[in-house]
Amino acid sequence: MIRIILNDDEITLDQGDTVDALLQQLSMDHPERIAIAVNDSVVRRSDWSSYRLNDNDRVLMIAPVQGG
Amino acid sequence: MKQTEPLRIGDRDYQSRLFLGTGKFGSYPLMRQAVVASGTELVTVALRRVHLHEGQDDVIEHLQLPGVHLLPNTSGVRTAKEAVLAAQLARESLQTNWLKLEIHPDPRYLLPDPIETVLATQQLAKEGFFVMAYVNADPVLCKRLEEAGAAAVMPLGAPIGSNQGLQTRAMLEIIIEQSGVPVVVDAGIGAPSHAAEAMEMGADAVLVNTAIAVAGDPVAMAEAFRLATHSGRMAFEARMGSVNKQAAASSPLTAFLVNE
Repeated sequence: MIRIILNDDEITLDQGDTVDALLQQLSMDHPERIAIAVNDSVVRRSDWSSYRLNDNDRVLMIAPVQGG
Repeated sequence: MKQTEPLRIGDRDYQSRLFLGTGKFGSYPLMRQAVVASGTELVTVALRRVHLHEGQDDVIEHLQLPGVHLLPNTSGVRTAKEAVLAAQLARESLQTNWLKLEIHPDPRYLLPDPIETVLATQQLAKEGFFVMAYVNADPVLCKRLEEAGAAAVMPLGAPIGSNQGLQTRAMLEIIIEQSGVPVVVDAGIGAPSHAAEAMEMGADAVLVNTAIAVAGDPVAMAEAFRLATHSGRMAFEARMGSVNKQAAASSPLTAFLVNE
């Protein structure tokens, strides 16, 4: 098991889990609008299925909202 | 209505010179109706951390309208480094190289940090972004941003959401005179007359959010801003008469009742 910080929440994943596995675990809606950075580097959508998360990774997940 | 000259920014031409912020609308349908009524072709959106415990309602679905493009902003960042990451995330999320760069660390007045803004503009322009930089109405800073590769400068009329109008008018005039990139007056525009004033002065476009979103009838207000922005631009293109101290008669002053 590994622990990551996703935004402000601690999440437990299996060793070797990818970004895709994380999204599946979260049952995220509208994943097409989401963008993700791990440890302050963007992980491109095309890499979600291969990018493996590590213990203590800081994952930033953002989505568009209303704003000026 | 008579068409005005299209505005070119980056790789795109805009017929409408009114850009719209999407914040503060009471509902998505109201926001969408206001966007339509405004005639805008460019709307801003913000980016936020996804809250895992809340349902996600996708704002973008409500903004998918023909001819309307998205302009993600970097609201919430405090440094150039954060802004660059936000921009990269925005590009990934929305598949656009367009960016409204705003870096305002001070929550009370939301005034932009000029140094961080220049640093971020340099970096983001190198990465292929069309950076529209939100800044104070500082003519020297606007030239520095142009040199840094900004696609447009967005000097403020007054603090964000304040509806105070063009408090920075004298500096905006200098910026407009000197700028080699489009000047979009952003922030503080509280009434259609403020938008018309900016356009008459020769601003290339205006960005409005609060004044429309918090109006009693946002859809009607969006239409009012559409007309005012267009009207101001038409007046600018038609070249206004000069301001004079003395009277200049509009009617013949030759003898009429009395033979002199």
